[in-house]
Amino acid sequence: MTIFKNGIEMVDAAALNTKITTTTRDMTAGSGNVSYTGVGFDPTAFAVSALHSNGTDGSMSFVDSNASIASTFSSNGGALGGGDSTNVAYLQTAGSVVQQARSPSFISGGVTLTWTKTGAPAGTGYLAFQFMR
Amino acid sequence: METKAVRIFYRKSDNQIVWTHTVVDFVGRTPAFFPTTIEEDLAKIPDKPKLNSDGSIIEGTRLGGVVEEYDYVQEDDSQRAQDALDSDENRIVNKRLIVGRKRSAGAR
Repeated sequence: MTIFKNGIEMVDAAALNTKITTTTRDMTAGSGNVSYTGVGFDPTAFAVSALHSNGTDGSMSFVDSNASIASTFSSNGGALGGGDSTNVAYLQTAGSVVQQARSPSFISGGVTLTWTKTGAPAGTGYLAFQFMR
Repeated sequence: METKAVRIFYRKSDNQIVWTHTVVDFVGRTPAFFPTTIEEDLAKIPDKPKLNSDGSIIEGTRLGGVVEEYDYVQEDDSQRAQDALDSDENRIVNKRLIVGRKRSAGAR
């Protein structure tokens, strides 16, 4: 909806929104879906950074309104790893020991990610989402 | 404080957990819904045998091609959901979560 005030086009603030929120991933958790809800609006895009306190890798990703992963950059022992279009979050604690989230899908008030565990990671992963509409 | 609800899918032959679907609510409400159906969750199970339309096996399971049956439990209370996820690492203990919410997920 276009709103005019004194002849000037205004942004429909109700349709635009953003929220930053944090959560954790139990690194020992098995594979499965996690639906993150309660954002307060229906997001159409998000960015998420993922870090592990003792990990060798973290990641930062951007998911667009087509649920496509625009790019993922993973840190690898201090060096910037290659981007990819598959992983939304990549929490690696050692070689081939990783929790990774893929296949984002937007739901009412949030997003669903599919987590896969490889090897036997331990500890806690930290996630910071920035949801946007 | 975030809250959780969880569905845990397990293989009936050995109670091994094969898939979970957790709903996390950022604002502390009891998660009101699961955004996927049971069938959609079942489709995610990695070792689910794939069948032809006549029921014959296209691709067997790691247990030797036996058609496995799956079932699930669902827990909408946050603490009990976390307890379920923590229980015995990868097994359902005494199926203690089957309290009034158990429904058959059907043979696959």
